[in-house]
Amino acid sequence: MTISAPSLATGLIRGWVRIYTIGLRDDERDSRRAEIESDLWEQQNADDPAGPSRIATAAHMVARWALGAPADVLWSLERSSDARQAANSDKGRKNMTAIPQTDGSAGAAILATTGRVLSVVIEPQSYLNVVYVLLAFPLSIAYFVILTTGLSAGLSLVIVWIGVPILFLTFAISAAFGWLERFLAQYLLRVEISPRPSEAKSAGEIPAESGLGDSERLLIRALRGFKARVSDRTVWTGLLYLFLKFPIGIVSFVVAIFLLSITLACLAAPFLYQLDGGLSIGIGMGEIWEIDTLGEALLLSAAGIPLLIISLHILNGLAFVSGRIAKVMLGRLG
Amino acid sequence: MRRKAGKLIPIELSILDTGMALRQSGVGEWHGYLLAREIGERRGAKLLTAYGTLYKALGRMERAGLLESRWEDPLAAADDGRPRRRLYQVTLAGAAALAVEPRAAQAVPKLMVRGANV
Repeated sequence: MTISAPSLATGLIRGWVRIYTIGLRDDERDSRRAEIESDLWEQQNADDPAGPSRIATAAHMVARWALGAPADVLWSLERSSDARQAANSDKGRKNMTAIPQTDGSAGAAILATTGRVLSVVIEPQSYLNVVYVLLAFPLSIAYFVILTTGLSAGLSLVIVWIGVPILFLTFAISAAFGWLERFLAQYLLRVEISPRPSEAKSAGEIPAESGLGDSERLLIRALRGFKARVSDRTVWTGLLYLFLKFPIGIVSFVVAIFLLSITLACLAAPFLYQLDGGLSIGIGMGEIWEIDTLGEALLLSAAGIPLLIISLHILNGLAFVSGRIAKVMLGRLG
Repeated sequence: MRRKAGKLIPIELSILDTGMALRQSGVGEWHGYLLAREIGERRGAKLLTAYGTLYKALGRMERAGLLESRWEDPLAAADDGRPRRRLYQVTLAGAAALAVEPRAAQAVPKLMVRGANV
């Protein structure tokens, strides 16, 4: 008995539909399965003598399945989520197990996890996180150089008083850098950071009857303001964060460049392997695999897809950690 | 990704546009495969709309009131020896939503409807 290509394709698609409809409401599950069944029959039995061959029809069906698979997963997650919300609002928050626990609940959980793993590629937030991670290195270098220069010059010159305004300026610049970091965390990482209230005590007014001249009063006010800034803990936590950003930025940048360069090289293999010098995979000085045919390049390119998914998850993790550190050190506590 | 409430995405525009064109050609109700084939022919595309993309959009549009559907009589399907079809049609709300879209001003190309049997 021979099995035709369209029958194989139909079996594949039917199996896929059964998987992603596990755990849904009976009416939605049955409706989706029946609708796809109808579409499969219609495509195979289209009344067209000049139509494509059976193998072409099967390939077409598989292509329609593959290109729509992410949408199937998202649809299943949406329907599951809507059903859960509807059941919770009907029965109230006391009954948290409103969805009947059928033998499909494990399948729905697996599908939900798979969706979360795969959706990282289509989520815009993934790419905003990559931008944040890549920006961390050049920014952290700028912070380190400017603040180190300002603090060392200011501290060494404080004995001749010129160091005081230098330190004052350095603290002001670090506050501006702190504002920039909160801005980047908010708009790239979507992390809300409410700025900490300054703990600086008021400089206080100098009584008019003190007998001091205007310039003397100005100097005393400036010194009191400087003392208030120096005693403000938020200034030092902000400075500490900006210095910590340096090693964090280096690690993040190195990891990002390593992962992205390998991933992009794999994905672009079909375009790269014919260039002068060719394309090969190796460790150290040894070559393991020389890519010199289109088939090998396509295989390497396909391997780039799971690599992309893994890379984006790792970079999302780095961005998450960076965002948490920024929130703790730059944000309001509690 | 967020979009403005009421804003139609390209696949939804194609579905409404093709649905209205089918109605003008005398096909008041259509099933998913017929719609996918007509969209493909209007676009000159060799590959029909993917299952997941098409049926997700149809379901979303039905919940939004832009389409309505019914399952055909099981006896009619049994007589033809095929699975039951889910038949859709564009609602008044769907036609109105399409009318306010700028692309609705484009001329509808002549349709080739084969084997509709609806």
